[in-house]
Amino acid sequence: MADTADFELDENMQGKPLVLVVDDEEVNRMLLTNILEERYKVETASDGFEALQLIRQYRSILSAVLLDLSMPNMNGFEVLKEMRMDDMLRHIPTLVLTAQNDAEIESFERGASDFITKPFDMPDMILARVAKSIRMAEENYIIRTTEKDPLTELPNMAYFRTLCEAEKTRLSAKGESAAFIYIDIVNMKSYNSRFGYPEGDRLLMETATVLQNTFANMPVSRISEDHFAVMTGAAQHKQQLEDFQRRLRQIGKGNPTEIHAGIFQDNGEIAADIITAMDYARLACSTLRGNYTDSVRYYDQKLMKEYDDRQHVLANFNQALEERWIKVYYQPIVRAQTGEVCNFEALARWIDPQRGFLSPAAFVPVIEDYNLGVRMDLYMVEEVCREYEVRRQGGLTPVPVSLNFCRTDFDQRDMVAAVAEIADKYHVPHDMLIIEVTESGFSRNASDLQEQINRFHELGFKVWMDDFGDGYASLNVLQDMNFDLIKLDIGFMRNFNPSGKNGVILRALLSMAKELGIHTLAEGIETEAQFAFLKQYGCEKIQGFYFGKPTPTDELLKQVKQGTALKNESPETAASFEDTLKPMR
Amino acid sequence: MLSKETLLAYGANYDEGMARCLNREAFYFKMIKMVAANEKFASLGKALIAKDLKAAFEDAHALKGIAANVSLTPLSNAIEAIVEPLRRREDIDYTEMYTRIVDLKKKLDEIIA
Repeated sequence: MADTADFELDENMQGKPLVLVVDDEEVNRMLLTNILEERYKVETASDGFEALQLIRQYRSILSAVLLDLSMPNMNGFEVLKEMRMDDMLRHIPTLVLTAQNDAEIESFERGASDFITKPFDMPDMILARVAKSIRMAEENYIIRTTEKDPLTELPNMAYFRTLCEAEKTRLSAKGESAAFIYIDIVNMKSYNSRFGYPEGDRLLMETATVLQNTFANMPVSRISEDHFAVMTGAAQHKQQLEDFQRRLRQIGKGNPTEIHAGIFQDNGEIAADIITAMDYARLACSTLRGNYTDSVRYYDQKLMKEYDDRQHVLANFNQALEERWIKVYYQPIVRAQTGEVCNFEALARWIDPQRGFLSPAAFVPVIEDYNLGVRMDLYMVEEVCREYEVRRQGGLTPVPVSLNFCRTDFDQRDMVAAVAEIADKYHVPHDMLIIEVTESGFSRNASDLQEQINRFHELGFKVWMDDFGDGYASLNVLQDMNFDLIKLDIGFMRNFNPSGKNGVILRALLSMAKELGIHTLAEGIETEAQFAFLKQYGCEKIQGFYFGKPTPTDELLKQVKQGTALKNESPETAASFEDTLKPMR
Repeated sequence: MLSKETLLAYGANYDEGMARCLNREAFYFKMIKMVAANEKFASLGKALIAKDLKAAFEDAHALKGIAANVSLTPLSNAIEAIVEPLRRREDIDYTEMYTRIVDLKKKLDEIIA
C-alpha cells in the first residue's frame, strides 16, 4: 500500500502499524501511548495543525488516528473535516476522544470510525476499539479495490449484479418492473487520440458522476473502457436517459459527448436474469455501432430472434461444415448472345436440421464478424471441387464456377496456394474455377491485390471483380488491376431505368469495359426488358432470376434428367467468346 | 510521599488508575505528578477572577479529563462541579467551588512532595 509519501519513520517500527495520538494534554498523550505502544508504533501531536501535517506525511502507512475534539487553534472536528475532503486521507480510520455523548453522534456524522470515552476506558477496551477500526478500514479497502472500478469508483460488474438483485426485489415489491441500460460513449477512441488519455479518463470520471447523479440511488457500473450499465425503474427510464444524454452533452471537450444506449425492459415478456438482461441491453447497444442517426435501441422480439440465430450459427458452425449443413447452390450465368449457361456462381446456403433454411443474411455477417469467413470460403471451394465430377457424370457439361472470397480471407491464408491445392486434390482444371473479389475485399493495398490476381492468373484461375459500382470500386481499379471480368453491382438493376441516368451509366460502363478488354456481367436480372437492354449494349453475361435461381447439385441433375435444364455451353463456344477481347495491359 | 496508601487516603481510585497505566506504578505516579504540575490550575483561577468564563471552562474541562484519567476521584469530582455551570456560562460566584479545587490540589501537592 505504501506510495511515495515522504515519511521518515524507519527506526524500530518492527512491522508495527502506526497510529497517531492527537491531544493537547501531555498526560493524555502519554497514557494512550503507554497503552498502545505494545502493539503499535505511536506518534503524537498536540494540536490540529500538527496532527494534519503528520497525517499527510504518514498517510500511506498510518493505520489509525486517535483524535481529541477540544484542542486550541484547530479542534478535532476541523481535522475530521479536512481529512474527509482529502481523497488520500478520508479512508484512514479515526477514533474520537470525547466525554460528551452529543459529540459522539456528531463525530460519526463527520466520518469518525469510533470513539474512546474520557475518562479513558480500560486498556483492553481501547486496544480492542483501535484494532476493530483498523480491521474495518482494511476490509473496506479490500471492498473498495475489489468491488469498484479504480478509475470511476463505480461498482464493478460483480458488485453491480448484487446491487441489481436487491433493487429488482425492491421494485418487484412495489409492482414495478426494471429497465437495464447499456451505455457506450460514441467516438471515445478518437476523443482519446485527440485530447490524450488523461483527458479521456477525466471524461469517463465525469460521465460516471453524471450517471450517478441522474440515476440517483440506482445501481450503476462501469463495465469496461467506455461502457457503462444502469438498472432503473422501467417507468422512469426514458426520462432519466434523456436527462443523462442532455447533461452529458455539456461535459468533455470538443463536440458534445454522445452515447449509444441499448435497453432491455424486464416486463415479463422475455425472461432474463440480471446477467442475461444486461447482455440483451449490450446486444441492443452493439447494433447501433456506426449509427449516427439513432442513439437508443430496445431489445425486442425481432432482436431476440437475430441474437438467437447468431448464437446458433456460432455454436453450430463447425458441425455445419463437418456434416455439410452448408450446401452449395449454383446460380446459372447465361451468355447473352446464345442463352446458354456459361458459368455458375456458387452460393452458400445453410440448411439447418432443426431450423430449416437460414438466409445468408442470418449467417454470413456472423461468420465474417468472427473471422470464420476463410474456413467457410475454402469449404465452398472444396465442395465445388468435390461436386465437379458429380456434376460432370450427371450430364452437365463442365462450365467454370465462380466463388466469393470475403475481405479477411487474404489476411489469414495464402488463398492462391490453398485454392490450387484443393483443385488439384479433386483433379479440377484451374480454368473451371473463378475467384470473385471486391476492391474492398483487400484491406491492405492495391499492389497486394494486383499481386494476388497475378498469382491466380499464373496458375490458370480467372479473377472477377464483384459489385462494380456499389460505392467501393473506383474507375482506377480498372486502370490498375487485371481483372478478367467486372460484375456490375446489383444496384444498377434495382434502379433500372434505360431512358434515365441509370441507362446512360450502364451504356458507358459496358462500352468502356469493352474498350479496356474486360468482359462484363450483370446480376439481378429479373425482366425481359433488362435482359434486352443489356444484350443490346453488349453486356456479355447475365445472371438473375430471369434465367434461373440458385439450385443445389441434386436439383440441377434432376433437371438434366427431366430435360428441363438450361443448356451448358461447350468448351469450344466458351473459347470463341472468351477470346474475343484482348485485355489492355 | 506518593504511595498506594497515601493515594488511597486521598480518595484516589488507585486500582483503576494503575490498571489504566498497565500496572506500572512508577509511570502512574509520574502521570499524577504531571497532573499536579499542570499550569491550568493557575490559569483557571485567573480566568475566574477575570470572569472569562469561556477560558475558565476550557481549563476546567481539560483538568477534569486528566484528573479523571489518573483516577484522582476527589479532585476530578470537584472540577466537574465547576465545569457544568461554566459550560452553561453561568454568571455565579465560583469562589467556593474553586477553593475546593485549590484545597484538593494542595493536598495532592503535599502527598507528592
